[in-house]
Amino acid sequence: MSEFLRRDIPLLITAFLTLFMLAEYFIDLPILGKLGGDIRSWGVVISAFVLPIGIVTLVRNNVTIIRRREKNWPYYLWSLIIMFTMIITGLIGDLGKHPVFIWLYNNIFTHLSSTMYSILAFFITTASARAFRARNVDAALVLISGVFVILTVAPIGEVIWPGIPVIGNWFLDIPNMAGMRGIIIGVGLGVLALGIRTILGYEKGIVMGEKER
Amino acid sequence: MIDFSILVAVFFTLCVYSFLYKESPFWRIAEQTFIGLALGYTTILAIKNIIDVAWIPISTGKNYWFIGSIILGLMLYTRFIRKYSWISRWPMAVLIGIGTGVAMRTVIEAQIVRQISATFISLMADTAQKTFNNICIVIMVVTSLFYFTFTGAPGKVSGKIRTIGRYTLMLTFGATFGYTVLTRMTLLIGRFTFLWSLGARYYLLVIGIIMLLALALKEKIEKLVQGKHSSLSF
Amino acid sequence: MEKYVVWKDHRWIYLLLIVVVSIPILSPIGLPVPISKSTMMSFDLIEKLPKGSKVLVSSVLAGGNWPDLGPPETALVQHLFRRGVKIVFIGFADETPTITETTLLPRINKYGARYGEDYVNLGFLAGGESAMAAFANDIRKVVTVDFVLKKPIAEIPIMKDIYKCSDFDLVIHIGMAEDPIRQYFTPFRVPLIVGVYGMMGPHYIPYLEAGQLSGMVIGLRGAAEYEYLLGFKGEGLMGSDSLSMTHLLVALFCILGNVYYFITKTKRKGDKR
Repeated sequence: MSEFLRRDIPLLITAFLTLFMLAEYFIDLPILGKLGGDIRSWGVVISAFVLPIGIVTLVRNNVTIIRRREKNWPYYLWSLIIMFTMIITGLIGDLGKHPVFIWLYNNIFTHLSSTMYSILAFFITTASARAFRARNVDAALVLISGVFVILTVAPIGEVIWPGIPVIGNWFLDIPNMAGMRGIIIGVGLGVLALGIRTILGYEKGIVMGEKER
Repeated sequence: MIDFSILVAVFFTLCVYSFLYKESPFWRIAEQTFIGLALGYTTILAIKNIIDVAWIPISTGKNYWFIGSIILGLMLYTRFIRKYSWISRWPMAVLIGIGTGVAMRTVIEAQIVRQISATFISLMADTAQKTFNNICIVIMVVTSLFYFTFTGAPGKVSGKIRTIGRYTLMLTFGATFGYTVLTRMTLLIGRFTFLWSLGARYYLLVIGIIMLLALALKEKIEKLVQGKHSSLSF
Repeated sequence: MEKYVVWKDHRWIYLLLIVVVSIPILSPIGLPVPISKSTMMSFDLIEKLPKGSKVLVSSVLAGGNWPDLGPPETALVQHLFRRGVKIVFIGFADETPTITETTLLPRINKYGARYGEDYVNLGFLAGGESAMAAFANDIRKVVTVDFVLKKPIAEIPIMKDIYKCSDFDLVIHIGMAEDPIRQYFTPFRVPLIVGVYGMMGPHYIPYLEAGQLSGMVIGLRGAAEYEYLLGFKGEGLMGSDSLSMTHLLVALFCILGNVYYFITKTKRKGDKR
């Protein structure tokens, strides 16, 4: 009974819902459409519950570090303080409309998140200078196509030589398009294969985690 | 008059960029602030979503079945109680079932049939260039698919086909690299446009100089207190 | 030769990049911006929309991806307002509705459009592609109130006669293109324009060629092209000079790095003999 509840029921739920979603799309029955809409709405609500799971994990990890006074513990304390400030101010009054909440979002969060992603530009420049070497035919092809496309994307490419965007666009429209099409078809077949394995219950790891796999 | 909002925005931006010099207390403050704010913001939006999609239909009597979705959502949190963590598999199974079904049903047409049919192009076009391009497209699509599907197939001919497929993919990755540079540089340009804007550039210079001095001073202080163990070490 | 090799210490590379990105911002050059086929297709399609058409703008815009996705969405939405069409905004990232209200819409000339009658913000839906499928099939099942006024959907004038995706004349999605192709275009056959991250541009060219996409605006470069066509100077055009210089720097590093590699390789081979 225990194994049935822990392993078999989740697999049955997954298989049933996958088949139901397929049936709803391919069989034109109003009742299927209505139920399908309800089920998808349930999915939206359950997904919303997934988002705050990070808070529980963060609080558990950070409290452990703070309690043990591990290295850099004041920063983890700060992280908890700022998180709860955001949550409390977000809950006061109209949800997410408190001035402090909006101020924190506009003046700290958006700037931090843009800057975190922008730092990758430095790393890609270093990589192009120090790591990107034409050691063999494959790497040489990546390099040639990459350099032409980089200069095609930049308006200055056409100013340097009008032939650059012509060659660059050829790389984009022919080999890139063909290779990407092969990848898209391959990925599509992979999604189908994974879906069929899910329906047949072979993909236990998805529902139950790595240990069970 | 000091604009506190811009000052704080410039400060945190420079804290992140201080990582390029070396890891420092400024970087750690920025990192932990980002984590805390991201989780706090996400929680509020999640609560809002639950209220809008589920609670309003329940409270207005339009659809009481959403109570089930709230119960399933709450079951997700049993993953933190070791004895009952298996209960969280049920809502995960619901999410995976819906997601897999929704993706599978249109992938056949969107990613397989339409793409294959778009490859059926005339090998004798109006112009010589178009003919050459069409022949290249057909050969490259087939060989790159062959490369994926028959990765270990033996034989000289299959080896040559896989080689052409591999070269096609290398050209594809080069083009992807070119556009990846675009994305990364775009993000950087966005940041520097803000930093050099009229409202922010003076804060940039002042805070930048203060930070550089602070980092240089920190190195000197660390050398002086070298050897002492402290959980408060920066 | 070794002492002239700037990439031995990566911090010199960082400094060079900072200088190269800053100079065009402080002193714009004004390089021309050639228009690509995908941007032109998007522009032409919106230009042909009759006044009063209904357009869905579906997005994953957030603070972190604003520099890449914000300019294309700003340019596209500006064009929509100029055409006098009705716009419904929906977000699939948690920050999208907030950033739409606080950052996107204030930058746009709405030509007198009124909230609720000419445009509406339906907020955010969690769940990615599943949420998109739920929304596309039955909007009122997943969205009960709008984001700004908290008014029931049925009472909002613009939402009269809009129940699902096929009720729109055009869908614009800002973000990755696979999900909207699968959930908007394939089941409902609504024309679809996407504004995508720069690095995903090459990935979606096959969809454009196959007719599954009616147009595509790729990152900051695409936004610059679109702004040029619209005749207004936004973040795209303002950043295009810096884009040119930074790309030139990266291309030069790739070339010079390999020249250095081959010279030292030949030298190492010569030393071995």
